[in-house]
Amino acid sequence: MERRSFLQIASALGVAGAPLHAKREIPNYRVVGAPAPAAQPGMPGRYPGQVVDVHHPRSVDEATEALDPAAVKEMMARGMTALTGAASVSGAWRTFFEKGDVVGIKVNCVGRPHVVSSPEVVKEIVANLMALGIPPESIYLYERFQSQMDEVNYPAHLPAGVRLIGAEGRRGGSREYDPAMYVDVDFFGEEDTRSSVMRVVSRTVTKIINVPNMKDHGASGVTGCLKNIAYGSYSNVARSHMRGVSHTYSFIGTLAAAEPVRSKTVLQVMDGLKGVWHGGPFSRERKYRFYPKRMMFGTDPVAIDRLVLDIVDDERKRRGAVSVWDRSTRIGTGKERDEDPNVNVLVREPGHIEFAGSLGLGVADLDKIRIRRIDL
Amino acid sequence: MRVLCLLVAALTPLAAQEPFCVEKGRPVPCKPAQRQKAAVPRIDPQVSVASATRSPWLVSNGWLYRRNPDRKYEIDAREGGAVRAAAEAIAFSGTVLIHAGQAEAAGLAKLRQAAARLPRVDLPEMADFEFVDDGRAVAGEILNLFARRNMLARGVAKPSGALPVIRIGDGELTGDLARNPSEFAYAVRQKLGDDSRSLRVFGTEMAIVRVLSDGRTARVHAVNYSDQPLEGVRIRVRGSFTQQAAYAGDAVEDLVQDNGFTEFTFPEFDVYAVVDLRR
Repeated sequence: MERRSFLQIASALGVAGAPLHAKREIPNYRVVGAPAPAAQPGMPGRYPGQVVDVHHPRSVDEATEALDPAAVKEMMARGMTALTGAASVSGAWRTFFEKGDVVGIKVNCVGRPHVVSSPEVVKEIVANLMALGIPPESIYLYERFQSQMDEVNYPAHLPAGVRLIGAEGRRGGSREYDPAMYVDVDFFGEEDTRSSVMRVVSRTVTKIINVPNMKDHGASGVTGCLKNIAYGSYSNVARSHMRGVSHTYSFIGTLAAAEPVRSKTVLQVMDGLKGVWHGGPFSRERKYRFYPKRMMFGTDPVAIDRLVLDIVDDERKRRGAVSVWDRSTRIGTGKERDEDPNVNVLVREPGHIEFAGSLGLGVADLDKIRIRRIDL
Repeated sequence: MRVLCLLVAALTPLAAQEPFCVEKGRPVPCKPAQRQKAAVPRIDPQVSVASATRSPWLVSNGWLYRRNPDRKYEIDAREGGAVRAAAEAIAFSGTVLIHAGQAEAAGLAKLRQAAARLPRVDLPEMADFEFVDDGRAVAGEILNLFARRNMLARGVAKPSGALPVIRIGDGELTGDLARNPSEFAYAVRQKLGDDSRSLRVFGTEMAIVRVLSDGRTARVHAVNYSDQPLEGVRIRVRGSFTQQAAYAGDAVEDLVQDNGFTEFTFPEFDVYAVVDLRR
């Protein structure tokens, strides 16, 4: 059942000699039990290297941090039609989904309650899916930790029948993960070397919409599309960071590139209405939140994340904080990190985006990314 | 007040749970005997030991029972942990008297019933290698680490020749390395290779598993050292087994055979699960 080792993937893609990777020791990943990819995998999907970036100045009230649902609706309509070229909103959604689909929505609740996949955004996605005839019972919001999802309270915003799955009711529970599909790797001598994909991903949904946020991340530099779909769909991933070292550089892309995640994730909706420029992926301190008031639409997670990387890093520079690229950042405790934006708990690995690009997940070269900016 | 304290002290034994005794892995009526003290099995969050992993530190006695099969132990678990101590003794064929609090009476009764249902079998302990145990404390600590990491070691005074031999001082497994038993165990693990290990445990680092097998039948015991139930613990064990009978815990799930190994999942268990697998 073992399909391949990462080194074989890298070799096939001709990336082993790429300068950035040449400096890195890439762990020996084994992808086990993965099904065959779709004829056109969802990532990078229909629109590789393309991003629609929609800005609405009234989408967030910075004083209250409340969202304007009407602004969100308009941003989504304009973004989706611009991405697909469809004449109507329903036509845009029909480009990706049809009546018989069972759709997973990968939300991000780590920055709860303030910076999450906004209920207003998720509600609009659900409404558009239902407008195509997809019943609410065929729509699954999923996240790893049930308790985080509970804090966001999506059901209060959604039609009855929409399903919510938190893989780990008790932190560490493994029953909602598929024992037959996993990525095996030993990073630091940990005993449990498997990261299994959630059963809802492997066995239930036919397609996935990825709805991440724009956030700094202490290990990966930023967390956007790639990290949300990768670390958010598999078990036992926190083991990739220990004692100041993080393997997010290669693990994020490897997880995202593994089937069936790669083929099923057909749409990226970046919820960048609110963001986190330091202390992510959490959002405990309001002083580290900012308000890009943007949403991005695409099928290429690498291209979107490459833009998010600059947005977060520019905000850090504006605030006088060290760049996410700075590998000499002072390493401290979580408390010190929360108090000082020039302290981190690990060396950040923003190169994970380029690495994911090298696995064929999308376009990381800024010069090759086509951005369509819409200001409302 | 002093009178009241004396009164409480005098009454306490009446309210206490009768000790729970296990002899060679079977619950038995308690008999007087000279016993050596053993620790209450648990997770110790305070221990700061250099380690190759960030795995939790499990305080366990299974390795001790296997190292000294004829020794009798005694555990004071009146503050808690009696059910786990009893389960550990059953799983690792220990001989122990456990002082328990009243709060665990129901749990111990349930465990006694599960043990009574467990058919008596005479299966050899599955092992991947023999570890030359010279009786020193460091060798004991290494045996402890092997058990905690679910590495199937057979402690021997002299190698039998039947299995690969691991000995302190051989090659890269130096005496210096042995001073850090965790690093030593990891070095042995790398030497063996995970794929060739007869037992792997996934989905938790809070469980210690013991396997007895003659190739036709395998008995798999699992003890949970955490205070939370474990969900979805995945086991990979050498041998191709297609049938199962669970005696503690629910029937196992997702039982598959792959390349000379069998994998299955313990769906959920509080302290102890045991299943017999057959071809």
